Amino acid sequence: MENAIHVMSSSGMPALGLGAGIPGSHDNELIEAPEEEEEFDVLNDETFGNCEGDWDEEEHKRFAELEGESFFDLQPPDHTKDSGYGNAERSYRSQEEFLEQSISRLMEEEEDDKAKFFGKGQPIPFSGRQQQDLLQVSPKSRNIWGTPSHDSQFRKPADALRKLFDTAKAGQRGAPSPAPQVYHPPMPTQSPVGLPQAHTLEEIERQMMSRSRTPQVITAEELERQMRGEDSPRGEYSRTPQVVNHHPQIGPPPQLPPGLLPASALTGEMPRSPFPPGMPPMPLPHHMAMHPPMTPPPGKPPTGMSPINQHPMANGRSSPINIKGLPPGQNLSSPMGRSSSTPTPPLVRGMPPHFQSPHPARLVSPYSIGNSPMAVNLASRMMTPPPNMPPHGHIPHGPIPHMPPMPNSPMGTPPHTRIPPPSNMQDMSPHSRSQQQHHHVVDRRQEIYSQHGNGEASDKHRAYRTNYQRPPPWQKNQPQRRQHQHPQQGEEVEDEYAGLMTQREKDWIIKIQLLQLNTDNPYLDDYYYTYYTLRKKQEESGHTDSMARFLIPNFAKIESRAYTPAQFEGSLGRLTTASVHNPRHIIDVSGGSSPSEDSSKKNVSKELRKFRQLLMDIEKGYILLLDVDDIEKKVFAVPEDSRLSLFLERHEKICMLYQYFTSDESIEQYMQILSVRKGRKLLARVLPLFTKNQAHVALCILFHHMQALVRKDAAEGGLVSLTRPVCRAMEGSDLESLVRLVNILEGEKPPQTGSYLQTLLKNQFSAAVLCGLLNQAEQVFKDTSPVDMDNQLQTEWSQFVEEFAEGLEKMALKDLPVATFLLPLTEAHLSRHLNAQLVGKVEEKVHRLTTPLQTTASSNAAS
Amino acid sequence: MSGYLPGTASLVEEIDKKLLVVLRDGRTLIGYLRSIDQFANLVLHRTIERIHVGKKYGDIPRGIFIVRGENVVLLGEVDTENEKNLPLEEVSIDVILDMQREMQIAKEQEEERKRKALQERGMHFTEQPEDFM
Repeated sequence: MENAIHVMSSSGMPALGLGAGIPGSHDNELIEAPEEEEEFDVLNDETFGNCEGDWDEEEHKRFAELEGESFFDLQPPDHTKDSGYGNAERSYRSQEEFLEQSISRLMEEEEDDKAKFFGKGQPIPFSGRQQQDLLQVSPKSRNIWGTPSHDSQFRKPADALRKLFDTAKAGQRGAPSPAPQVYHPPMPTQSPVGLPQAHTLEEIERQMMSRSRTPQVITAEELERQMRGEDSPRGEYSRTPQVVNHHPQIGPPPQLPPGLLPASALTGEMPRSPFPPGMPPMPLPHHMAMHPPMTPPPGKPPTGMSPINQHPMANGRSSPINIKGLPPGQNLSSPMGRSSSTPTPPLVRGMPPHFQSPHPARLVSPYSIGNSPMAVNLASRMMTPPPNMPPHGHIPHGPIPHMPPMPNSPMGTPPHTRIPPPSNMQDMSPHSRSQQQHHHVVDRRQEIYSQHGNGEASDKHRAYRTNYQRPPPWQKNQPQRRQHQHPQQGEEVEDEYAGLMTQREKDWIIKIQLLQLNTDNPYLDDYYYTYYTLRKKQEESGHTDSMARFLIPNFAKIESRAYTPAQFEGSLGRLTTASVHNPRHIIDVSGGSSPSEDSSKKNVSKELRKFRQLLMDIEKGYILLLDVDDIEKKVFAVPEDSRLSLFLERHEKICMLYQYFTSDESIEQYMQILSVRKGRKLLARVLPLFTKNQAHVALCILFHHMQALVRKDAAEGGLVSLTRPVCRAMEGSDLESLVRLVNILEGEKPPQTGSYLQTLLKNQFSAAVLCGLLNQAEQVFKDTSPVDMDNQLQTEWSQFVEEFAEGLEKMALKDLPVATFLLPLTEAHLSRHLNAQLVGKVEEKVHRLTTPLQTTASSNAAS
Repeated sequence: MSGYLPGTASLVEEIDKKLLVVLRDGRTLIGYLRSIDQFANLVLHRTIERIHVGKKYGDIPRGIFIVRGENVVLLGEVDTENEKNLPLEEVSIDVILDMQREMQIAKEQEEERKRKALQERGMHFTEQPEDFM
């Protein structure tokens, strides 16, 4: 308890201290950032009047997040305590702050003020060192910033941004950006430039569109040209920002605002990004801007793509597809990456994926998605629409209002369709989205690092590149898709969508399905399939192998049936502790008594019931036997040490079986059991399991009943199944046991018949048993020296033998049953005990009794 | 799943193939299977809904479909080579919808007739709507 309290207090402290409720370990600056922002607002009002009154606070926050923490946090962020979410947020914020700073920097008159706000006294970190920090921090902090190469480049986005803001500001009214579309103003409220209120990109676009058409047209063309890989307007573009820099109105080179767009579009993210195109992509895109338009470097989009593909890692239960926030990050990266990579490979060295800023993705133009080829390409690469994209508008078209409209198939434009499944970003709230974006951006980035340009990606990229000019091909090509050349692109389009489900996801599904097939006892659950596979394997591996056996795996999921849910002491009432595996015991449905079957013909039913009961009893015996069988199979699956328990169990079961056959009650039932074929089979299978003593007792009991059995069995002859096991059981008996057995036989004989042997000899089973007795006796006599043998026993035995021979003599040969297996020693035994004359009389009969017809080899020689 | 466990089947092998899916409400969808999950929910891409009436059929392009697994009756791979050589005649969507409506009306009339006949004979029969076919 104390500990708990202690913990609470310790965790409470920072929260209290912060007042902002930010979890995790954040730097002071970051933690205080929101507060600062509030201050900023205040200042802004004072400084700039009310026009900025309707800044969207949220957007500013996001903006601040975008800044990235690099400027403030010179140490690698501590990842140990948070899930990365906080980190993402942090880097987000720091990036925003960075952006803010850079922008403010540009405005010299406000620089001092800005510094106060931004850096907490730190100079606006815009130095190479800072950039280094950026670099350093980014991999760990998931800072998606690329490395800004030059300050000047950094300025450009800012300028462009400011330009945009002016534009927006001029035209707009406060449109609270709905969650997603955050058009982030490049700076926080303090920025001296009349930053327009945050508006959705849509609005800005609209304004720009309304303003003039021509520039936009140019833009589109420019984009197209650039898409085709020409170097055209790059120079223009590079120039324009500077031009813009000093023309805070919208006017300037008409190209600029639109010009901005193409550039950003080219770079992929710029215009798209909610915040000034320059911002996160700031360093990089700018850099790009300087360079000839990029045809998206092949590597980039794929890498952009691939992470998303890879991303859906499912943890155990959740669907792998359910990944939020992924795409936005993805979105960001790809265009960015693309742009960055071409012009500045060294810069983007490790960074290309970095270059994804989470924000740009957010800024997706609702329309014009299908319009520009560029957009198409970018869009399709962008995997998932930034959250809150309007239904189709994932692709960050950014302010590319007038792209040549793409033909829209009923099925939607390819870019739309290209967006991979994990595009549930659309539903996220802005904040969560941004955060998730970050989070996933990070993941993506990592993925990008690890899986750079796999085949899929390249396919996609290929399609990406080639598709922008063509209408959605798949529909037209549908019939011929797989066969023509023409669907070169059709195929590509199709291939592009192939592999939406990664191998990991597939494995995950298969794993679930296989899990359902797990079984503890293959023999029980799927007997036929088990034996089928075993047999197949046996055939394959050659017939020399002994029949393989499926081991019953010893996965003791020992969830004891008698589970009583945990009970809590000292609690009021009984707390519910039901789980999926141990639900509450609501109704007691124990096996009720079977309904009595009353019928008019009671006798019949009674007999039937009795018979059924008998069968049930035999079943019980079988169950014991099968358990023994199972244990024998289990034994091999278990290591040596733990086999003992199994052996003991087996022994126990065998004892139970013994009981089954030898207890008093069962003796009464004995006849009945043995009258049923199954009962006999049971006994036959059980006898080999017994120890010698047990077997002997069983035999005694059997011999007790021998007469009766024989009488009953006269018609059926079903006892033969017992012959072999009985004889086997007799093997190893000593003379004493044999004598005892014989005595039993004698004792049971009904007084009226002359010789008990008559009946016994008539029946195949009993005759065989008798001969078996003699066989064993011979064995005994052979093995033991006469000295050791008890004289009395010997005498008794000789008596028996004589009786046997006499009885045999009396019988006609034809009446004697034929032997079923060989008892070689019987005859020899007779010779031992009997005089030659008697032997001669009976030898033929004995032979008949002891030698099955099949064996031609006759072991006896005429005595 | 045949690699993992012989004698089993899984939808994983059908991914990215063109499938024909019959739903419990009688609809027939043809599309590329892009993704599945453990409940056999399907994500169909470039889906068309094909309506058959007699020997004629009509396609309605539908885009992306996500089908809940329990609503699938069966599905099978489409033979892309032979799917052009159908013995059926394709008509436009409007035509086929009209035909379908007519068929539906005819069926209802028939049902109504039967119901009346049964009612005359004193039998009241209400059929629970099950899966439509």
